Formats: sequence, structure tokens, C-alpha cells
Amino acid sequence: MAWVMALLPVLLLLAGFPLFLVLLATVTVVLAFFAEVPTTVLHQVMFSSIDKYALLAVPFFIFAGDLMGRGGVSRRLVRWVTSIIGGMRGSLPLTALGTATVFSAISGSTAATVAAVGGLTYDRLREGGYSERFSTGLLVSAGAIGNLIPPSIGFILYGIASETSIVKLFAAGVVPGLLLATAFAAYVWIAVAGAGGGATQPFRLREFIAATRDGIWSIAAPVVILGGIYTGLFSLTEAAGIACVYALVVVGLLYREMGPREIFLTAARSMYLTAQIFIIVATAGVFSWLLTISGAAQSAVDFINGLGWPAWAVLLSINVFLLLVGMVLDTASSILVLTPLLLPIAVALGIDPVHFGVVVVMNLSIGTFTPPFGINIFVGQAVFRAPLSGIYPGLAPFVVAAIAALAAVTYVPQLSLWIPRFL
Amino acid sequence: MLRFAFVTVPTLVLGTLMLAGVAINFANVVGRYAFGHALFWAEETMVFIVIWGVFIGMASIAWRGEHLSMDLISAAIGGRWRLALNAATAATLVVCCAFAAAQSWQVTTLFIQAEQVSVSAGIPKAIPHAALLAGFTLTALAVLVRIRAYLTGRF
Repeated sequence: MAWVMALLPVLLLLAGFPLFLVLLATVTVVLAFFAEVPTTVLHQVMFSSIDKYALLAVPFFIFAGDLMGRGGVSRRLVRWVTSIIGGMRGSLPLTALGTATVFSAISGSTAATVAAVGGLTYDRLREGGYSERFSTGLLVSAGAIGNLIPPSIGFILYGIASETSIVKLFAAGVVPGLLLATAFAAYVWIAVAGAGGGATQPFRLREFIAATRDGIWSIAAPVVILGGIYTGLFSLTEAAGIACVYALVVVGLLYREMGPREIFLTAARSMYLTAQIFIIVATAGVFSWLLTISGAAQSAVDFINGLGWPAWAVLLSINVFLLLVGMVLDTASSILVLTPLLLPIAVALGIDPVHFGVVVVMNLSIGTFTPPFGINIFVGQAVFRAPLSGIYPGLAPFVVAAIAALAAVTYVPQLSLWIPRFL
Repeated sequence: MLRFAFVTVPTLVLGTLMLAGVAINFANVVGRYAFGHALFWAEETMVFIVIWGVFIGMASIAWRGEHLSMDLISAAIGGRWRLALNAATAATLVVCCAFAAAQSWQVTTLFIQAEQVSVSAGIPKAIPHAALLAGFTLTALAVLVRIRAYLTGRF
């Protein structure tokens, strides 16, 4: 049974089978031929894997993020950030990075951040004289911040898979998210010094006030979404639903940039995207359940303990492993399949599950823009209409900057655990 | 006609389900804070709405061939091997979905016979469980109907 669960998914994955089918075929083979449990557990565990109230936050955050991305929110955020840092060296790429960071506090998806912010800022970067390599590298990488700054779909899934407080995970992601943004900004700062990227517009109070007034509803969105959660007014799922209503009011009534038909189609698309993710959640639930009853998780803990490695070396190995996984698998599947296997190892080493969650999600987020298979690279390819050969080289410095930030987050737990301590 | 069934209808259903979910969630929050009464059936109903959305969406995704996959390595394969791989994917999809549908049939009929209802909303449990039966059956059907697209890889 163990070898089937180890080898079959890898074979099917390499053969290009859909991710949910990789998991479904594996569990079907195990249930039909190996496991001594009723085959109806396939249905029961799939159902119970998505029969969770906390998971409702995922479709609602996808819908809210999609509405705001298409309804003029991101454009106003670009203007607002430009009004603040337009006078700095490298203001165009820094504006793109700043907007991605603020947009991350609205959207929980890395791909949505790349599409919404990248779609708005790519042409401006190119017109500003920045190369295709640099521009695509920046915008594809910046999406990863979306997985760390709350609300984050990655943290919701990790919280459910590990039975860890999602609210604490959200809080734990703030500093690492800002650290990642700072690492990217530091590279941009150094890179533009050589390329001669200058300021676009000096800071003017009048423009700042005008941009703030124009974008106040966009700027306030993170406050509404996260404020409700941390003041205890709403549960996570309620906050996600409120974010949808807020987005509907802003883009439909205040900005009037989306009509009823567009809103309806956006709602349908969001549920469609949810289906793409949740069918993997359901099948990964059965896979994880079989892993647990097979004793694989305990075997992994025993194996690691048997090696006698210090905690830092185990963490380093887990980081390398997760980075490699993140390069070929999407974040949701990786979290759902690997958390039941890796968390017991981390807990046995005395690592806080919240801190470990940040390490897992940050690793897999870096994987989303690491060549050759990072999923956001292909989002960028579609949005920017740039060839992969033009995107790959520009990503390398951002991967290096992100790994430096990851090292700090991995070995300085206080970076993740400082804010949750106040909850 | 088939496109209408697998694309247009699901789009209408998915959009309606999402907006219904948002409306129930909002009504629940407003009810609790403005009127001091939470909708006791809201959480269960929203979960069931999303479960149905997922499995209706699953069939539509199968129709369009848009299930998430990591196909960079397999995309490099051409000719007969490509055809064989595509045929293997389609066959596995149909067999696995048929197997899953058979399990769902057993569970759903058990719930119908037992006449069990959900704890808060009082919805017959067979209704949300039937979503899996419908999703797997329609997905297998979608693959069979679009077998040419699955074999050629052009949707």
C-alpha cells in the first residue's frame, strides 16, 4: 500500500494527469486492492473533507478578490501608491510591488494578485524603460506576497489540514509577508541603480489627497476585511462574505464599473475556480486519510528521529523538499497532501504549528514563481503575452531574495509568532 | 445542446449559488447584529450550496478539459505516445469517476432509506450527498461525450 501511494502519484503526475485524477486514481487503486476498509469511505471522506464551514471563506475571498481586481480597485490602488512613492528612485517597480502588497490584503490568491496588479502595471513598466525580463520577473514574483499577507487561501487550507487557528496563521503571515516584500524591494532598489530607473512624479500633497479621496473605498477594503476578524465581530467565513458584499457595493454602486451581468459572470467564474480547487481538496482528503491510517506519518517521524539530525538540519531539508514540491505542484494540493505528513515531524522537533504553517506556505509560495513549473509563471505568460524564455531569467534574483527572506522566517520564529502572541 | 447542458446551465447555476451563498452569509450577520437573531440554518445551507457548486463545476471543468494539471513534461511528448497518454487519461478518468459514482450511489441511497436530515437546517442528508453522485456521473459522461477532444488534446 505504501509503495502504491508513493510511486503511483509521481508516475501519473509526470504523465500529465489532472491533479485531482492523480489523487483519485491512487486512492481508488488503494481502496479497491490494498486497504481493508469499505470502499464507500471514498465518498464519505471526500464529502467530509469539504463539508467544513471554515472552507467557505475560500470561494468568498476568491469572489471578493476577483470583483475588486476587475472593478477598478487595483487601478485606484496603483494611483494611490504612486502618489506616495512616485518620487523615489525606481518608483515604477516599487509602485507595482507596493500595490501587490496592498492588493494581497484584499485577495487571498497569488494568481489573482499577478493578474490584477501585473495587468495594470506591466505596460507602464515597459514604457518606463524597464526590460521585459525585469518587469515580468518582478510582477510574477510579487504575486507570492498574496499567500502570506492575510487573507490567504494557503493559510486557510493549512489551518484546516493541521487543525491550527486560521486567525493566528493570518496574523503570523503579516511580518513574513512584509519581509518578503522588503527583500524584493531591496533587490529592485539595487537593480534600478544600475539601470537608471528614476522617479515618475515627485510627492505632491494635493495629488496624494486626490488619490486618497478617489481610492478611499479601495484603501479601506483591507481594514473592513481584517478589522472584522480581529475585533471579533465576524468569524473568518463571515468576514469573507462581508468582503464580497463590500466589493459588490464598491464596484457596482460606488465606482459603477461593473454591471449586473458582469457581476453574475464573475460570481460564476469564482465558483468555477473554487470547484477546480475543492475537487483537489476532496480527493487530497482521502489521500491524507489513507496516509494516516497506513501509519506513514508516524513512520516518517520515526525515520527522521532515527537520523538523529538537529532541528535546524531537518528544517533545512524540509525547506528544500517543499521548494522542489512548490515548483511542480500547486499550493493547495501540496498543503493538503503534505501537512499530515510533515507536521508531526515538526511538532516532534518542538516547532510551533503556527510557525511551521508560515514556513510551509512561504516555501510553496516561492515555488509558485520558481522556474520551470511555478504556476504563476504561466499566469504571467498569459497576462503579459511574454515568452517563457523572456520570463525565466528575470525570476532568478527574486528567487534568491525570497530564499533569503525564507531563511530568516525559518530560523527566527519570532518573526511569525510575535503578532499572534497578542491575540 | 450538450454545450448548453455542460457550459451554459452550469454557469447560470454556479453564479446563482455563489450569490445565494453571499446573500445568506450577509443576512446571517445582519440578523445577528441588527435583530439579535442568527439564521440557525445558514451555515449548513451555505456548505451544501458550495458542495453542489463544486460538483456541478467539476463536470463543466471536465467538459472544457480545464482540470488543473502539471503538463509541462507530458506536453513535450508527441505522436502516438501523446495519443496513448491522452487515451490513458480519459480512460482513467471514466473508470475512477464510475467507481466513485458507485460508492456515492450506495451512500446516497442509504441516506434516502434512513430519511436522515441535517442537524440545523433539517435538510435531507441525501441532498448534499447526491452532489457527489451527480458530479462523478456527469464528469464521466462529459469525458465520454468529448472523447475526441480528450484524445486530441484540443478542446
